[in-house]
Amino acid sequence: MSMTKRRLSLKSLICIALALIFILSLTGCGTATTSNVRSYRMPNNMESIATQVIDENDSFSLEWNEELACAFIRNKQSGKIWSAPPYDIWEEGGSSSISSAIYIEYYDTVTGVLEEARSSDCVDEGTVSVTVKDKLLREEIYFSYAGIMIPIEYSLNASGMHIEIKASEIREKSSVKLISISVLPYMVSTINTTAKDSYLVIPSGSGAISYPVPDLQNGARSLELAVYGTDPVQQRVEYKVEDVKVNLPVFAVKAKNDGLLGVISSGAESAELHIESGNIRTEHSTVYPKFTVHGYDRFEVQMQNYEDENVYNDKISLSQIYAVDYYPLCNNEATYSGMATKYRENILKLDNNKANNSIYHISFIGGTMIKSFVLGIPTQKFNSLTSFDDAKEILTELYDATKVIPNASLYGFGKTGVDIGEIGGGFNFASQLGGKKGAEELEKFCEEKEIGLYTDFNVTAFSKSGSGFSTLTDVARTASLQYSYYYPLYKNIPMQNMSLAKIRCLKREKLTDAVDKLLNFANKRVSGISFSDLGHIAYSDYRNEDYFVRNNLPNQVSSLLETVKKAGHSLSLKGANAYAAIYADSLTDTPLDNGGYGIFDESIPFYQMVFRGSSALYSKAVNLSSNTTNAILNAVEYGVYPSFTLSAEFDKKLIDSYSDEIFSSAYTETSKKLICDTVKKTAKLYNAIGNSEIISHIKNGTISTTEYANGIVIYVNYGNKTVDVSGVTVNAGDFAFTERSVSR
Amino acid sequence: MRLKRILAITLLIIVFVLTSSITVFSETPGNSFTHWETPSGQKAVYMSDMYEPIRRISVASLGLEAGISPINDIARDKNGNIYLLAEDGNIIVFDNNYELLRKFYITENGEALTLEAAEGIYVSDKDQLYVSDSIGSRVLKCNMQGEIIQIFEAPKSSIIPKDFVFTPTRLLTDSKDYLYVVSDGAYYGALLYTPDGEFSGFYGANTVQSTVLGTLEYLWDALTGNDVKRSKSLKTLPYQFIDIDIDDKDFIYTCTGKTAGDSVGQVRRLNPGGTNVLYKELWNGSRQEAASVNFGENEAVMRNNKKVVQNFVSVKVDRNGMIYALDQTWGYIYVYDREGHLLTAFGGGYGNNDIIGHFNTATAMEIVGDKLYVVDSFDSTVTVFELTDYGRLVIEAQCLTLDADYIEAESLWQQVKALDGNSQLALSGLAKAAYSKGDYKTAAILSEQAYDRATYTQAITETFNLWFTDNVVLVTVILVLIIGIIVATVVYMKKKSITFKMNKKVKIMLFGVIHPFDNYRMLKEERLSSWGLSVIALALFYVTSFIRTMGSNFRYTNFDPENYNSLFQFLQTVGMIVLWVIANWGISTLMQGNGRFKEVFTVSSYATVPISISNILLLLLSNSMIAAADTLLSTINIIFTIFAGVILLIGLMVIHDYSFPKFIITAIIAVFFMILVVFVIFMIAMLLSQCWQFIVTLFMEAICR
Repeated sequence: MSMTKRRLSLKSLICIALALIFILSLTGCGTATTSNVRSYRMPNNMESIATQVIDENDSFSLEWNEELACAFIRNKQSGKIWSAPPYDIWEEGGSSSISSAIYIEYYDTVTGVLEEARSSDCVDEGTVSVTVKDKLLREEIYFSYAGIMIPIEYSLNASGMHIEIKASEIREKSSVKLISISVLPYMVSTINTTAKDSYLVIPSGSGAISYPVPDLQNGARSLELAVYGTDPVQQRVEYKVEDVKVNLPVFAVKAKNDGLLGVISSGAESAELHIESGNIRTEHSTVYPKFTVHGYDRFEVQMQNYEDENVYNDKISLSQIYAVDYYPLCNNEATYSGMATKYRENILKLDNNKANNSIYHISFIGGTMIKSFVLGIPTQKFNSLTSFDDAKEILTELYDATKVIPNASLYGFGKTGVDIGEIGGGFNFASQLGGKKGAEELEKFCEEKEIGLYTDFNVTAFSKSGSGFSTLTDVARTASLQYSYYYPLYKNIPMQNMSLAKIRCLKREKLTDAVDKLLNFANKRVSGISFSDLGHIAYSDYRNEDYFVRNNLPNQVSSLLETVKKAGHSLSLKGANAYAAIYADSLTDTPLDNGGYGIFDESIPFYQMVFRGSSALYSKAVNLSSNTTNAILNAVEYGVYPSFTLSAEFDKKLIDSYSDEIFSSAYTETSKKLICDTVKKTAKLYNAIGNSEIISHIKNGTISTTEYANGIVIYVNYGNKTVDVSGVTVNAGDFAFTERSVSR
Repeated sequence: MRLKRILAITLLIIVFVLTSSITVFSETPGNSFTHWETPSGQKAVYMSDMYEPIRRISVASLGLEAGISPINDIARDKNGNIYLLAEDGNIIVFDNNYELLRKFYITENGEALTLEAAEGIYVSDKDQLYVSDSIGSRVLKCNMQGEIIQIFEAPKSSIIPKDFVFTPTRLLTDSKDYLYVVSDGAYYGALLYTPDGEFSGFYGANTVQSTVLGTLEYLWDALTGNDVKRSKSLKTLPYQFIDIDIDDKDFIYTCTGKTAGDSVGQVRRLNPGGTNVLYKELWNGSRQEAASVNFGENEAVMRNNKKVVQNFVSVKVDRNGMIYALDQTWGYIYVYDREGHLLTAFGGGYGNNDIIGHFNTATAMEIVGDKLYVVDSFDSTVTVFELTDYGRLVIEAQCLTLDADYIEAESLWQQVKALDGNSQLALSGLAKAAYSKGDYKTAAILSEQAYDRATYTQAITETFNLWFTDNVVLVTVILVLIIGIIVATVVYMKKKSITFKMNKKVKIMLFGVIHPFDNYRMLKEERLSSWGLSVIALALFYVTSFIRTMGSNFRYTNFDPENYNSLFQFLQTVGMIVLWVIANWGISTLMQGNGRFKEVFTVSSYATVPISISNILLLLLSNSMIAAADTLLSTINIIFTIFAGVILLIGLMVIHDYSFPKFIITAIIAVFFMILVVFVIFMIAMLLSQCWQFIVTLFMEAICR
């Protein structure tokens, strides 16, 4: 009897387990297939309004043109009209391909095809409803064949036009998914021309200009760049090199004496900038934002053959608002310098930092993990590169040699060095580098010598459980609801090296915990905090609707950085995005080029024009460059202080390291000489420009001229011949500057 | 009940499928890399950029209007001007400052000639322009104004196969004005024409590497041939040339596009006789023929279940003899020196040319001074790369090193090492310089770091010679003392009749090989088998094996820290012995063997003792041998392995009371049984691994819902 009972209970247990598994599976299915988007329903009658002024102020008026069914803004000062379609083709009635207020991409779950649609077709079909209420123009665009409705609201403010689309008001049929919305595709555009009085401005890297020269050979040059870089949580099958990214949510056009600056005031983290230059079909060049609505992953799947396929998340972030502000500019403001000033002063409202910034920066690499063996069994061992004492010694040597106080950052001084291990490097210092005592002594030393010292912590990515964060439970989820992880790529082929540790992104809800723990640790030991990931990497987490498609990341990071500042720490950020950069005392690894994209014709110091003066800007490591002379000249041209990455020791064992900085970071007589020569050569210049903002920048062939608010003008000669510029002699491969008409 | 089971299994499968996947994302790779040559093969490492992209030239940037056909080839003239050949025969010329000089079509009788598929262009130093008209099956020789002065047509010769279609692609002339033409579909090499336009024969055909299996397969196919098989046999034709270049000594350089299978021999250097004289100097100083060298990456990418094969579409040689090879698949440009060392690989893009310096469909390249021009036919652009300061240093230093001017190269290598700690060439160059200066200790240290076996061997030989010369008296005294002490001890022990008595079990273990039949009979009859000693012997076998692998001098081990794990060695040593014991005991039990399990285990374990001794011996010898002595070490290894085999054979014959033939039969069956067991274990391990993954996934799903 007892045996029978035991058997029965075993059977029951198995049944219960199976039932649980079944329920869990169903739960999974439920999450993945229930849409939270409101159902699509087209009204019987569409409302419309006549041509009229919706709102106006002293500078601008927001108007509606019934015939073209488009809203536009008129700059009263210059008379310029900015609209989609571009005003210059109004008389031709507007080409349908460029007269749309929005383009959409949607996925038809029945056919399995990703389709595109334009609002101009809805205008032709009469499925656009337009209303005005309280000076707010509302356009509801019904894509009847797709079963999607997008509401756009236009309003006027003191500086220009504001448009927004509330995700909660979007409607879609259950069989379709709205993937993206491109907003006012030909608003920020100019007619193609070979004259250099018009251009597109894109904040790729330091900033870029693309001239609207008709591309007669290939039809157009086009590019899509994700604002704030690619999402590490999104799964993909192909790898695109992205050394620099779009750090600012802005885009602009200069069209002769007028300009239009677009600023993505909400939802930038979900946006891509679509750039099209010299399109010979539309005869226009344009830049516009494309917002992703339903997040997705891309897989290799085995159907009949292997194919790449997107897997879309069914839900969208209902709290998301996609908003863009358009600022019409003219005359002096309608240059990239003027646009940068507008963004800096009127939008970010940045103050000038009155503190004395150090004119060079040293990054130390603490250590890295290397493979070692215990009885022939592989294990990871910490390999020390720069101890706290080494750092102290190097800083002393450099100070003695240059008599200039540097700024310093410590990277990889945690338990796993520069390799990603526990969150925050385990919130501890590696004992091999001197541990807490070593750190304390270095802090004290730097305080005495007035050296700004920042210790770097990684709080978003981890590969090991520890410090209260688990690789099992605290990992962000992908759009297809899987646990996100990735491996570093091989050094030579575009494939992930699965023999390395999996890197996971911390679930977004836990970011606050991570920063709290960091502050608990740092408040007693560290004066300056540096983040090389927070502020640089933007990622999604499909655990929580509020974090879909990277939603809310700027707000979340801003509040975390504010907490760090409130705790009394100075803050340094590496490769920071705009939402984070405004909190930083120093910005390292600031981009000095536009990323080298073929669509761009020139690099411009747009990033530097925005942030110079409010934070100390430091370049990428000069000593890691294969052309140090150019790297220094580049830093000088952009008003950025030079930076150097050093490690006290280098060993052959490190050839296996996946860090692309270590191998040329050894502190040797050569690197010491490079640092000292650079500092001595540039000290006078940097002291002269101080915290002044850049007010203009011109590049003419191999000569660049940068002018600062305090009257200093710098000339940089990249050529191989000495030249005279405005009475100043600039040697080949050198720079010179004038101090209020007094040449050096 | 069965239905329930099926349902349960189906449910499990559904849950597994629903919950498993891999997230894919990664950081971007570095721009430039090189390969370290190590005992365990080549290894990719980051390096500083030797070349950097400085400009992308487009049709528009040259001030040309639209309508230019895709650019198929690029050439230079003796003044450094660049010639681009569009598909329709349009030729665009620009100078080193990227200023357009002219644009013209070839003219025939004063009329511009539009071609259907112009594939290759070459400008000789004698101001003659050659263009291949692929569809027209001819090569046009023109003056610099583009007027045709000679036409080379399909050769008429008895050696030309009937089905051969002359489709000229790339071409060049040598110093004697002989014309070399690469023809699509020509597996016999390049077509060679005399200056008079006479077809002179094929030049430098690639060969098919034959293997025993391949030959057998060929014979079998010949015997059982049908059309399908014959069509498949086309795959074994040699790879045709894709591009061709020439150096100032009339050596011809070729590349062969995609080479399936092992992907080797993509680049060749042919002497005037057409023989491939390119080789790669390996880490151990030996030379590997280029035909068996992979000039690309050993690691392969799988896309949609297919291996992505690299495709070498262009080859160039510069004034220093550096060979540039262009891979269309990944957009990489490889730079090799004349001894096959990879200096750098750069470019990339993996089929996306959004960024300047990356390529979508890189097609051809040309070198002018320090600049490298690469054509991307996708959008008819030319990317200009320029040698960096660092690149100049590396090339200058390596040229001096290849010319054996080591001391001159030293300061350059020091600069290179300061800029790039990953440079194997710098370590090797510095080692050679130190050796040349007589600093043998430094040379030994540096060459060991660089895995430079030849320099290391020379350096330690010289170090030893110097040390021995300085200490010859001391060494003699120590040797005499040691011999004296041994002699005295032996004499003393004999006088006093002192003898050592060894435990019988230990004696059998250590000296069983001396009188194996007697010893193992004694082991059987006196029941002297021992669990303890057997385990010790096995442990010794395992420990000495991994210590030998890890601790031997780099010249004698292929220890790869990246992939080594002694647990695998444990399976290969202890695991295999245990498996053998089980198999042998099981089989012999069924085949009237008398040996007990313990005895089989003991004999098998004792048989490893000679291998353990050889491991220790080889470890010590490898670290103390001055000259390279591969043969000596492998001979020692073989002798001790034979000893082990003999012990195993005799021991098992004795304990089972088997004849030799019977032992062989049982051994073969045992080996078969072992293979079966390994297979079953492998299957179970896979199943358990999947179960574990399922449980982990389930657990993670559960805690997140």
